[in-house]
Amino acid sequence: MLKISHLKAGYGDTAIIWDLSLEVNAGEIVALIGVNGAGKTTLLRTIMGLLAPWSGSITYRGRELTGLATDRIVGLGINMTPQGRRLFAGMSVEENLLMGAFLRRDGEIKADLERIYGLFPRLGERRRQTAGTLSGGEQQMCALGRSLMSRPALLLLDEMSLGLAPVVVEMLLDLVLQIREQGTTVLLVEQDVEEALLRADRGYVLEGGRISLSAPAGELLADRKLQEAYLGL
Amino acid sequence: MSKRVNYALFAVVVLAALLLPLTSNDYLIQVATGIAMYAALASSWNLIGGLTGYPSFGNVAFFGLGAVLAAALSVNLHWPYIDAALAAVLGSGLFGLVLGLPLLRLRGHYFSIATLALAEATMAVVTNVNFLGGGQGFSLPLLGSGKIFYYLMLGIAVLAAAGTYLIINSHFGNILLAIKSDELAAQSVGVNTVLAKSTAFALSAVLGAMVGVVYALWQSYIDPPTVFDPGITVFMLVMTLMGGAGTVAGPVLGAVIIGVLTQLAMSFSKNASSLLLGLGIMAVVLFLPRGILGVHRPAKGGERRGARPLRG
Repeated sequence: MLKISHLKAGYGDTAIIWDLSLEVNAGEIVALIGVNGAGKTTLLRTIMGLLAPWSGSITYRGRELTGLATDRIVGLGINMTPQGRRLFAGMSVEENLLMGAFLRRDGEIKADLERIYGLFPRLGERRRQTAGTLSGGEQQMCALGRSLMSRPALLLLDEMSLGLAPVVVEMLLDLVLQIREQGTTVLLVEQDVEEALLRADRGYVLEGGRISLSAPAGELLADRKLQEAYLGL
Repeated sequence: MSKRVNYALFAVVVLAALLLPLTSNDYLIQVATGIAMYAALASSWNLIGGLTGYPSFGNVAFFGLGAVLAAALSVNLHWPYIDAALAAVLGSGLFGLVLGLPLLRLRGHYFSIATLALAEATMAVVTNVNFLGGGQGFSLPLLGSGKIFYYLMLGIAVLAAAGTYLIINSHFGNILLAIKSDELAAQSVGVNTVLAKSTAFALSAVLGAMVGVVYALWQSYIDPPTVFDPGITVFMLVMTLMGGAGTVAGPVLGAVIIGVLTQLAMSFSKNASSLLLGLGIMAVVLFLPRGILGVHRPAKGGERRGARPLRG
């Protein structure tokens, strides 16, 4: 579904990603793990067209994405839940969710809104509340809900667990399984490596802007070196 | 305040402004013309600086370009002034749209400094092109009573305020609000932010140029240092911030307050008005960072009205 080959990207004169290749197949949950500064967020931003790659290619369903504007890429069915939530702080919860459906023109937006409130009853209770006043967990639910409102075929999740209580992290990641059941492919960027690998099909380890390891999630979980490096076991 | 109260207030203010020339002297009309002019200019600045969150320091470029283009077309090509004015407004809007594309890639201070340079560069070009009047400027025929210009400026100010109201309550207004609150998030939900920002900049340019073409005729003599004075941008900005950026009435309120205070200070000494402006800026920054109309609105929290679905 998504195929990245020999990608190089960065900011200004500084390359962050060097010769990166990876693949995500339809229906999968793929975890991308790596320490701070490994290039995870840079990769997601490059996929979304928020950052122009220096070289290499990104194809989605056989179509080249590099050079396309972000709104075109969103229109093709890819959506990112950005790191740090990045809600429209002055808008209400409901307005934020509706912004997620920005490019949609079908008549099922209201129905999807109710579906999101079914998924996150807390958001339903606070639908008129300003998004900036939500708790961290609620904000992350709202950000995820906003992404789902675009009905993405491929969802890129950037560090959902950041700053959240373990019980909320588990709840959100369990939801990712549910999202996949409903037909959305997921590329999961996580620092909570164990929780991510427990739910993913496959995993890539990103180190210094390159993929250093790629294996089924179960194998990565059992990998001794990885356990030492990321799981603190 | 409820919608009804706002509409009533708007009607009263416009009616009072319309009746003003009946009761007062020439001096008062001239001052009121200046205030209406700045209300329109501040409202035009508010579109890009307040609604979109891009603090432009170069909006005087559109005012000046409007004035100079209209004068050049009417004096050099002998166009009827109304045609020249229309062409000048459209030309300035196009100028804003095209230059907005590169300039609006910059953010924060970088955008401010680039727009400051844009205004200075525009003045430099105008000063060196004979068709645009060069350093000499233009003399335009004197036109009848000052009341005409008062009503023209007032008309543009009302148009600017009504336009701002319509934009704020429109789909486009929601897009600008999204860009202002988090541009990356706006891009991520599929907003074509480049197009939206450039459109806001172009609309700001159109309004600024409208004021410029009327100003040229009102003053009947214009030259580059006058119509490209960076101080004009500073006034637009300070008035908007003082009244309340991103609101409909804020720029108008700011223009009235600063306009009246400036006149009062002038009666003491010419320098007193600059002093007052400086103190005003400090007071706004320290005590009213959200402007006069912003004080009553909660910065965070509180309920918002029901949301509407958005479509791209």
